[in-house]
Amino acid sequence: MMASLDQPVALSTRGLVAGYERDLPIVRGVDFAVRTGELVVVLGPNGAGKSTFVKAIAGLVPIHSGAASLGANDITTVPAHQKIRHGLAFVPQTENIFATLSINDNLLLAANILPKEKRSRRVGDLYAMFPDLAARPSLRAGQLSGGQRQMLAVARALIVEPSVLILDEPSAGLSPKIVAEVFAKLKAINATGVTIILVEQNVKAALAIADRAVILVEGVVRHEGPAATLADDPVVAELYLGVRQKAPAA
Amino acid sequence: MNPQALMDGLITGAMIGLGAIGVTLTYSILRFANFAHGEFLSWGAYFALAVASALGAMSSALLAPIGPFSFGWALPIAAVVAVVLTGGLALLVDALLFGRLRDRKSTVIIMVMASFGAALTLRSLLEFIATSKPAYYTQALQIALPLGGGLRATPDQLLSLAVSAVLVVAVHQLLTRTAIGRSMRAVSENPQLAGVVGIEVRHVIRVVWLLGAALACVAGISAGLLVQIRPQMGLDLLLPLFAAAILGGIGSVPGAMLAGLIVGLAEAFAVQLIGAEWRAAIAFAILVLVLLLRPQGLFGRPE
Amino acid sequence: MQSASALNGSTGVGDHPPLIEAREVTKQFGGLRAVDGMSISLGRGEMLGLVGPNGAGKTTLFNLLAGSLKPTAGTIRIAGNDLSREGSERRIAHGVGRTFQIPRPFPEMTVLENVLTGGRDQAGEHIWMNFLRPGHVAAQERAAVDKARQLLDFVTLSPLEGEPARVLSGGQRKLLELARILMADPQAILLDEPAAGVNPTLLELIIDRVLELNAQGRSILLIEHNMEMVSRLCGRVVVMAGGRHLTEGPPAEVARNPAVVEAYLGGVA
Repeated sequence: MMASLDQPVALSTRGLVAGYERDLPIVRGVDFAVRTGELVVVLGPNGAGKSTFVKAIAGLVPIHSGAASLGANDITTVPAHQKIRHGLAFVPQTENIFATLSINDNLLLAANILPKEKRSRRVGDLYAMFPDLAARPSLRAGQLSGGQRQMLAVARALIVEPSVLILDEPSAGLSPKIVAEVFAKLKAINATGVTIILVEQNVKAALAIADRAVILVEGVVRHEGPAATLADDPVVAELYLGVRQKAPAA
Repeated sequence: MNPQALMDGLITGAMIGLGAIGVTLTYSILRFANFAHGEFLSWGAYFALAVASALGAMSSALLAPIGPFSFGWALPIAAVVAVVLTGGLALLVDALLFGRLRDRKSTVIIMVMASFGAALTLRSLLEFIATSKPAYYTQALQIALPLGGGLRATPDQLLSLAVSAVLVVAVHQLLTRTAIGRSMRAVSENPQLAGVVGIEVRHVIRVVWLLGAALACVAGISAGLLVQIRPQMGLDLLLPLFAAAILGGIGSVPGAMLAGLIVGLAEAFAVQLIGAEWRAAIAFAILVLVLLLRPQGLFGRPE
Repeated sequence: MQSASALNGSTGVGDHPPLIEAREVTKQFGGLRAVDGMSISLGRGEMLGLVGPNGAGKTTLFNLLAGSLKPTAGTIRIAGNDLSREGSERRIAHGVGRTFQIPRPFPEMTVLENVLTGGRDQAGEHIWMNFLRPGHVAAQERAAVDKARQLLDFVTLSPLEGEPARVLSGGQRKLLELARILMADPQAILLDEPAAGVNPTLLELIIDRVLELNAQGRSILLIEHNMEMVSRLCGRVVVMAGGRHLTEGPPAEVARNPAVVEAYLGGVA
């Protein structure tokens, strides 16, 4: 869904500084905003702080200064386990499902914060959206393939009908074919109106589904713009490889 | 070989299994070996003794043995109260000690050392309050009934076995079919992800303490009923409890009960073969063998 | 695939073997082949950069060279000796030192004491030597302290000599680690992401010291994501992708290679 500029801001950060240790900020002042219905991708070379940035928003990494807001609500100091109640769902890169629980249990668990009447209906809705999961609901999640695990993790995140869904490198460790499937699914979910923030290493695949991209380098935003134009912009390669792509006139 | 060892082994084993379930749950969800768990057994037994005595003092009708059993209604009523009190004790210890260490992100070894300290404190307190003299729930003697095959068991012993069986099934159902059970299994696997998914981990931790303590209390009352009540009783069972929890596989409830039975039977048969003074060594030997050969136990996840 | 040139690229002096040489090295973790038939060599006096996108296998290869992992297949030679089966403890004796991405000095020991732990063949480490030959041990200790002080001066940490190591910042810890491994006089130094977690001012100092070490004739292999740093330091760069050797050459050339850009921007990781 192409979000127009008059859509409200779904999530924003102002001057966000964050890091595991107080004297070493990895995110060094990031201003960021995503509008309702947008699919924004956060890119950047290794060590840029993309993962740390979204983990800070999700409450898993300490925020040193700055603010994060979900809609009109300041969520800077909201603890990690409360974020989901505010409508922010986070899918970590690794260990994002409970391997020792069945698919059904994974979903029921997530549905627990919903009012009783809604729970089974939402689980049913997700099974309809992810028929592969509906096929064998009592299967232990640890026995799923990499791609299916990602699908389960996304399904789990969607149960509470979040306003914003954040994913940290969902393509990691997946073959290109599966990455395409996962990304197609994300695009479809976005089309239903869910705002998505995607951190990705796979620049090409990510730009192919995104509306807009933000490039972080060493903890700050160095470039951003519509995904379509960024796909051919040599600046992207330059930021990743640190060297000008076109040789200057000798 | 006296086949009675089979019965003795099962009865002791069921008690060990019940205590081991509490150990395995707290170990897998709170992520440290709580060596004070044995004291919940002792305190549970003494809470029940105190309440039962008070009830008996109020109405001697409550002391009259029910049916074939050696105890009156005072004991079952006292048991319910004792479970609540022991649960409260566990929450208190967590609030005063383990919870604070957790908040400070203390390492596992500190938690374990603290549990030794807590065990010593709880045991000494119990000795101080109740003295070391053995106590009993009832003075009524029981006749062992023949069960066939040369086995004999008293009604109390059979009740203890039945209660253990019911509790194992109940706890298993709790873990696999209820929302809180799912939450407990989730926290056991990945506490950080559990938080991200919206689980209140602090609440789950409280439930785990309550459940573990409740099971320890019932095991303690069982032991107090079938043998005797002493402040040392929990400490004496601690090694078999841990041996069973580890043999069963940390986190597995059926595993803990099965392993408890194995430990009980091993002790009973070993005592027959090599003498009663070796009893304590059996649990120890099982523990060492499991850790060397198959550390994840029978049903645990291989690390 | 240019595995032949991997050997051609080494700047060996005369017919000296390269200092560190890996041939057709593979490392398998269960079903995952993290490093697949990699060959790389570090010549005398060379400064080599090992780069590649995330998940390319750089760290695994680095750990194989440093000895903290053993190869599933292939050989690793240090100064001509086959050390494929040897662990990292033997690397120091063969003149290879390595640093860690997140240095962990002994927090309660002083900066000087931390450097002293890096010394090789210290007689005082054998308990009976302290009683049988106390004079020798004391003399060695004095020499070691002098050397440590010189090295601390080299890394500009002399004013912090008596401080417990835990007060040092990330960049200072990297410098301390450098001083410590220099105590063993390594001919080859493996640097694991020297720029990670270092604030920009100290980074300049680290770059300067590394260049100085190379000027002294030591060979250096570094993993780094900071491509700017790699271009400034390294004469030659090896690019890994998907556990394999993708290409190698001078940094500026490699960075403009379309296959390299493709690998970084989302071809195969």
